[in-house]
Amino acid sequence: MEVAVLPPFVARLVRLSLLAGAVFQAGSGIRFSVLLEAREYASAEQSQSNARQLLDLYAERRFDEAITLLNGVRDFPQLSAEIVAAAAGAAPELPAALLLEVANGAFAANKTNDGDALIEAACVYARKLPKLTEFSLQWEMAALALLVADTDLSLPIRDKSALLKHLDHSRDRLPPGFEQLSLAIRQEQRAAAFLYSDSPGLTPQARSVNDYADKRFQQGKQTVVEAYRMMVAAHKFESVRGEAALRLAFLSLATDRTDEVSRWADEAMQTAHDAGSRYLIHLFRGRALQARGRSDEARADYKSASELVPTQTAFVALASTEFLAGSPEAADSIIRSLQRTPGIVRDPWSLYFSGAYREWPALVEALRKGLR
Amino acid sequence: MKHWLIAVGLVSVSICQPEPPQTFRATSHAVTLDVSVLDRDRPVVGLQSSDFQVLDNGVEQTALQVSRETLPLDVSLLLDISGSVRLRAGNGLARALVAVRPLLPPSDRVELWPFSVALYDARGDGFGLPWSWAAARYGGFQPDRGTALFDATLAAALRQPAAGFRRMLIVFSDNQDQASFLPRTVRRSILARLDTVVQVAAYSYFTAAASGGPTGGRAFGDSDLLYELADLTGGFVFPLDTTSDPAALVKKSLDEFRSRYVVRYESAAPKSGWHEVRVRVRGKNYDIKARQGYEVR
Repeated sequence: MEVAVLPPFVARLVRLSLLAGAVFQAGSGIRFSVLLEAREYASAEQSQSNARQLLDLYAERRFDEAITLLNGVRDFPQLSAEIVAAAAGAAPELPAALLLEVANGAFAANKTNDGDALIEAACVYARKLPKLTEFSLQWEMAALALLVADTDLSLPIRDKSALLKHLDHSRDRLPPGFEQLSLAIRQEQRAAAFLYSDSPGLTPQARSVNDYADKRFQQGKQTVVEAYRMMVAAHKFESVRGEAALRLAFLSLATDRTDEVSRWADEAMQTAHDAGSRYLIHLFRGRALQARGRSDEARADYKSASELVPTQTAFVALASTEFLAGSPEAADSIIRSLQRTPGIVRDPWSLYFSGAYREWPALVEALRKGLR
Repeated sequence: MKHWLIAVGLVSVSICQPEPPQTFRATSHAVTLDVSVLDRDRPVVGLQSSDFQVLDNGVEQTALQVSRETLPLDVSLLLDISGSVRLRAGNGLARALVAVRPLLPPSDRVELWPFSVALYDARGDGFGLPWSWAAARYGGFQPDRGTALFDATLAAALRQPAAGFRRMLIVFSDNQDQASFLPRTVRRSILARLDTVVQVAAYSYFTAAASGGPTGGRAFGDSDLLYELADLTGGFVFPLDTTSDPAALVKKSLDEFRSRYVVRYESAAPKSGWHEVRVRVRGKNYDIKARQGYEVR
């Protein structure tokens, strides 16, 4: 029997039979057609299932699981088509999250040529959305930074035409200096792996220190120093000076210029009108003061930060000053206050490396105009 | 510090001054050390005070008091619920840990502290969840992007022990941290001064299979920061792999903790600052773990 196309239910039966270990008669004439059809059917079913799962995961903001799923997908063009075809309400945070995966390199690190397809799918899907969510406003900034920093050849995106097309529409709407700021942020993001964690291998005094650890530590230092230099260049532009000053406060910390932090922080505070920015400024200045042994002033900054945005980061930093000043009971009291803080508070610190999200609403509006 | 496990209890004459804050002239310190003695991963029993040698800043201490404590435990289990850990452990991690509760005396306190980018507030009114409640709902915990392993550990560690309890943290993680804010220098300073033992149960981020036990070698290569959490507080790192039984590991960790000796001594007129402490068992090559020192203000 020669069968070019089998009905799905037949194909399923065949597939199940195959899975069950059924033996097919050699030379019956059906073996290759059936096998091919069964494989295609299984592939389509799996891909559809992946798209559905992915949409659900992003809709539920289960991002780590989503990237795990993404990295396990084999038929990526099919998955992209499913995403593009999905309803706008299925996962409004999807484009931001997908773009972020590429911007972070989390996806591209495990795929070779699919980053562009992912971005294209996200761009098409974004056009369907009547309104972006708060999450998208924050995280799509990373994608915007990626858009502007299109000269970055290290990104494994084969075809940037979709990105560039959207960028061409929106570039003239971006404020002066934003491109420089974006490039500096991009460099800062690249340095993040070395900055916001004491990653394995970063410890210069590690007992099992080896060449790899030493090399990585040095590489990290150079990346951070370059980010500092680029941010100083961006700071020359009036329109982005506040954001650049805030980031210079952090980069000064990261490059052991603790004596500079207060100057940048004070400047940033003059133009910081939102709680998130002020919170970050207090955190950065507090850490610099703590490093310089000025615990009382550090405590005041951390306290201000905790009052602006009651996060674990601020409470633990504040408690650390009390504990190290010999007041474990006060530290305990602060931690218990944290325990009593209701709900989950979005921490600006955890979003810090996602880009200049404080500038985002106006920029995203410009980008969306370009997308239309 | 009111807990029995206070490593340094000031027996001092205090002179209160309005400004600057209080200063103390220490005349002696009651030092308490929580000491693990293992012989090829098995606790060594029957040791007497004469078996121990304690060096305090290089000076051998006499009149040691050695005992085995029977006080109840105040255990906080920090559970990394980030995607990378779930990938290795699955959602069954906390469910498996439920099996541990019946192994503990009712007098022990056990809490589950899930975390990813921060300690997870599952009820909407705080963390430090009752064990049974949290374990039953573990599958519903949704991690935020990123993991703040070290800050979350500090948050739990800075909570003081309940009066009359010995405090221990067990941290389940995979050594991925992208979101902690406090620098390593501050973290080290805090850990070194804690009167809480931190045990770490860790999936290796770099290798699929972990190897070694508490003293069976360092399975994490250059991931020394995990060991730092444990070493500075007198705890152990227990490597995990995807076939590990978390419940069995918690039991092992608790058994090890209960088997410890408590060594006390009086340090006369100690100098202010950091005091390095070394503990040995005379004539034996046992694996000994205790906090690495204490601070006199």
